[in-house]
Amino acid sequence: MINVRVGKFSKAIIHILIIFFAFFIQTSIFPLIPFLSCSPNLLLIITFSYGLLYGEDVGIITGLFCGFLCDMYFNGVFGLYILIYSVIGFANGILNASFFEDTITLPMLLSLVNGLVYNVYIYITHFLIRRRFNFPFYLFNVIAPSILFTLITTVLIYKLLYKLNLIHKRTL
Amino acid sequence: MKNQHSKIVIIIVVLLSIASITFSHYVPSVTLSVRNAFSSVIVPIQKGINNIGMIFVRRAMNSTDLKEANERIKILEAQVASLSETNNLLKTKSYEADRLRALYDLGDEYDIYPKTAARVISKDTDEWFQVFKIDKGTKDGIKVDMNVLSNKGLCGIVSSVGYNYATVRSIIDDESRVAAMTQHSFEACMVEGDITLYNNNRLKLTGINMNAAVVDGDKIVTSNISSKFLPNILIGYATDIYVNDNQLSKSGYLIPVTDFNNLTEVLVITRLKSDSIKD
Repeated sequence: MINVRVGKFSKAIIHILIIFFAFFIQTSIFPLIPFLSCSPNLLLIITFSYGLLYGEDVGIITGLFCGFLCDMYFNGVFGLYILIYSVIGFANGILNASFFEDTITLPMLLSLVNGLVYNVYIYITHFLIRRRFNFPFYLFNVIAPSILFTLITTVLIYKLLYKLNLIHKRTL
Repeated sequence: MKNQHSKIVIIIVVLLSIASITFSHYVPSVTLSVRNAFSSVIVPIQKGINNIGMIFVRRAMNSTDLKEANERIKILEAQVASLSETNNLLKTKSYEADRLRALYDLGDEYDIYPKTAARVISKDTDEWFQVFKIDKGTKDGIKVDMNVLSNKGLCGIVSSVGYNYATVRSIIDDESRVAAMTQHSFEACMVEGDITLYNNNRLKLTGINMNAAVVDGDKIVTSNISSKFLPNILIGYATDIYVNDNQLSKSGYLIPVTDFNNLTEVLVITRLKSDSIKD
């Protein structure tokens, strides 16, 4: 029992450290790279991967944490990011039950869908309400590159998180 | 059973965040102070990470750029020679202008503004926003609405400020509006950020009078009627001016002088427009 608790605790610490690490890379390293005009959304990848690998509860908590970091860090009303990240974490967590394989296809597909949902959400909450109706433009010039970048990064990061998940399962 | 439990949790989270969105929309001061405290902790860490990251980025850039840089030095040296000559000429004219101004008892409106340099430490990660943070805050005397310049011209305005950091909204952000004018004919216009144009390295130029003598290539500077921007800071050059459909005004585009893709250091003018009005 104690072992399990210690295991859970260290697991949580590792998760939080990973999220922090991703957050710092995303906000302070990516923008410095001049030829990277568009950067992958690491926090989004982590949120949906954890949902997929560990279930709804971990998905919600991860989403909550990532959303909180974004809300704290960026300007505007408080809670917008918490809302979308935790919903994404939860929705992907539902798929956890029907997912056992070591394939990358499902995560990649999810990366596409989640990226689209996230970006459309940002479009609606920040642009549509200011009456910017030119959605096709935003779709092709902002959303598409961002999704593509995130998709490529998903392949790398998901593999890492998946291996970590296996290690956790073995130790518990 | 477990499913049910997490469904309840997500509903609670959604409701709470909607409540928080509503609350912070109407009472922005609370979130501002919370964010301030959070950023005071985050910013030093970011600065450190930045330094490490820059070492790698610089190393990667250095090797490829050396050849290019050497060639540029030659061109720049030639430019310095010709510019110092022009500068001499202009100085003479400026002394003359000073003398005449003193005669007319006019204040010196276009003196060199006091500036402080700051480093860009982070940017909003999405393509959606063009907002960035700099490593100077209230402790360095930065205040909201101070103008921010790149080494070439206007780059943005301080939109919020914390103890050791400040947030700058660049002029290419979709919500940015700058009152401007043409440098030689003082025709008023408005420079608007628009992400549908930024990919072509352009901003929108609106509200030009139908009879205004604005042509492509005109230098656009900040206007003296702006409430927040100090006058006569170079923004960019007008291009593709056209007459609006209603035949009452003209619009066009502006090519900014600042290169927003490689923004690592900026200058903050430590004087507010409102101060100069008080003086």
